[in-house]
Amino acid sequence: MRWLRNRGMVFWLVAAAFVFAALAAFGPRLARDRDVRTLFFVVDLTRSMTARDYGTTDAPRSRLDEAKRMVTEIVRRLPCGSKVGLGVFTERRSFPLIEPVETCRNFAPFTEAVSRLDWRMAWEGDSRIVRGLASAQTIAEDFDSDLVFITDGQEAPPVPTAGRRSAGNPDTTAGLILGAGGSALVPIPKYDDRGNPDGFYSLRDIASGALVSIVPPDAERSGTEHPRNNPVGNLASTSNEHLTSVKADYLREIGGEAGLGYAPLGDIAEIEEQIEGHTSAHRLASTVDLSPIFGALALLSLFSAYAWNGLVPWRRSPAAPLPLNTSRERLSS
Amino acid sequence: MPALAFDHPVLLLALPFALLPLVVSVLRRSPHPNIAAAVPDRPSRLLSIALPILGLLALACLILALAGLHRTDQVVFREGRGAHLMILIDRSSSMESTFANRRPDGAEESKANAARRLLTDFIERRAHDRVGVAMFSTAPLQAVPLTDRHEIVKSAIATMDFPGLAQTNVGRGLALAAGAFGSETAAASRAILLVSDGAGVISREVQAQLRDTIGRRPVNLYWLFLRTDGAKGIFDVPASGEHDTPQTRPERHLHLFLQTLGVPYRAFEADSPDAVREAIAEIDRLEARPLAYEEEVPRLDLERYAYLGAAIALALLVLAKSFETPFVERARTLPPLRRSGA
Repeated sequence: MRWLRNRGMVFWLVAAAFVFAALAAFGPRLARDRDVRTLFFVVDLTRSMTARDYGTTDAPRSRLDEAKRMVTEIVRRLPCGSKVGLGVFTERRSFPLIEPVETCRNFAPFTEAVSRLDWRMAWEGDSRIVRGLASAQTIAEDFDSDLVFITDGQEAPPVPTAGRRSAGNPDTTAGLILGAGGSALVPIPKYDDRGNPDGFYSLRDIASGALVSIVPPDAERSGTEHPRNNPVGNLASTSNEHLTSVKADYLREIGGEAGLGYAPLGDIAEIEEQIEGHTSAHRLASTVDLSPIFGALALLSLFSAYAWNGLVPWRRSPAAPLPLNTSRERLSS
Repeated sequence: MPALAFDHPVLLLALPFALLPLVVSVLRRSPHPNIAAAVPDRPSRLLSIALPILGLLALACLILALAGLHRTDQVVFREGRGAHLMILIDRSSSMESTFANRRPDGAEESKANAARRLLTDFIERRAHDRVGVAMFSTAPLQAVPLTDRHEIVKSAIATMDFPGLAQTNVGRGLALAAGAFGSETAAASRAILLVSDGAGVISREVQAQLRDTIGRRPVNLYWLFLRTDGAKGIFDVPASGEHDTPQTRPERHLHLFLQTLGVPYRAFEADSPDAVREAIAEIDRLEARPLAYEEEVPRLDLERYAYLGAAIALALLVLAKSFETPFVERARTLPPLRRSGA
């Protein structure tokens, strides 16, 4: 008893710090529900996604590289128990590669699968985004998941000036579109038959691929267009379809029609906010780790122990040896 | 250097406070400034160094743990018995019809469906295999790289329920699958399981590429040919007078080409779900060798260790503190001190 009474405040603070640190080390847990999501990522693999407008001038990164990086980043931030799936879009349709699976157990193979995405997987050069989006929504609905559609909004062949088909079924799936690319126009790399770089697309390539429908409605009257001999009119002088930038307004528009949100690809905070707002969360029973609380208490106690010794003013009267004066005189002599 | 990372790096700003024990002692302060009177022996000198260090360690560990210290991209070695197996799936649209070449109805399942079901069973039996999935149609598509997480493999195979694409570009698909084996597969058994209901002409360049890839890193090839009723088989030799070219008989010529690769190769012709099951059971029997491999784990939390370190340091501090003797409240007069040299 006497031993206990003779311990000072500092002792008890250090002892408390030890108890809290030990508790933190053995990881007490508390049951609590957690919000998990099921996301189906669809990455645009069309040629314009190889345009390099991310990164620095010394080390440019393509939109596809950035898309892969961001998908990995989003998956990393999802709580365990969430599910993610992967698909690709090119031509007119989306194609599933991986059905949604749990993120934490399958993190390594999933992110590696994402990193292996390549424009060479694209089976056609066309890029009909509205139809691709509709097919992605159908697949996402089958998977009972929400859609994250990553594209730059570059349609190829160009959208008919007469108007495009509208994006559909806003009720069945939720999700968002991520717009890849910078706001400045950049050229689209071109590759030869064997996949080797071969310069950039020119307007001539675009015009020869778009034999229908990009002619302005009044072209026939202006005399520059002929249905057979010169179907694209004087496109060359007016168009910049061979260059690409992120078509944010266009993507917002079709996202609005399809009931999807929009966020630029580079901004993880905005993406998380949009995911929060545009995808549904399921509650999942899980546990929350209490060790940070005990850790903080341990830190506080230990810090107080030092503060007590260093900062609290000295209040105790010194112990008084009985014949104080005499002994001090003797000592000093 | 392991890749260390923190969840809340801003808390690291508190790290300088860990130096506090170097300035302030945790020991009881004494109103008698007579420490010089004690003979400085070795244990007390060690103790006067050890105690501040223990305090420093405890504070630093707690701050690091609270900041959420963890390792990323760590590599863990695992060992299993089995094979590195790439499943190469034909996603051409003909896979959606039944073995009798009809649209699937309630009674008969489609080829894709049967293959999906049986492949999923197969994966479930092969607990230690590292399995990857690649698909091909008009273009080759890598779905899942080689992994031991079979959940994701099964979910890639499950996408066979969705409509396929147009063509059967088997050559590039094989090239993709053959190229998917990294250097870590050098010692173990490697296999490609091609599941298709047809074949296509393989161009010369792709043939050369395949020979090259497979020559460098040989694989065991299995071709599970889902033969539709009425279609020509792999093994049928055309009657005299019939055309025998890759264009008219792509399946037979793919078979002939694969035989020339100089690696173990077996073709199974299955014209019903039961035949598919037998073929898969045969492959199951053939592919089993010990293998060791490494895999990256996404994150290893080190907080627990940091807390443990803090707890140990604190336990020693508590021990030291518990040996402190109380100050003598009422001391007797000490005998006068005499200088020995006087």
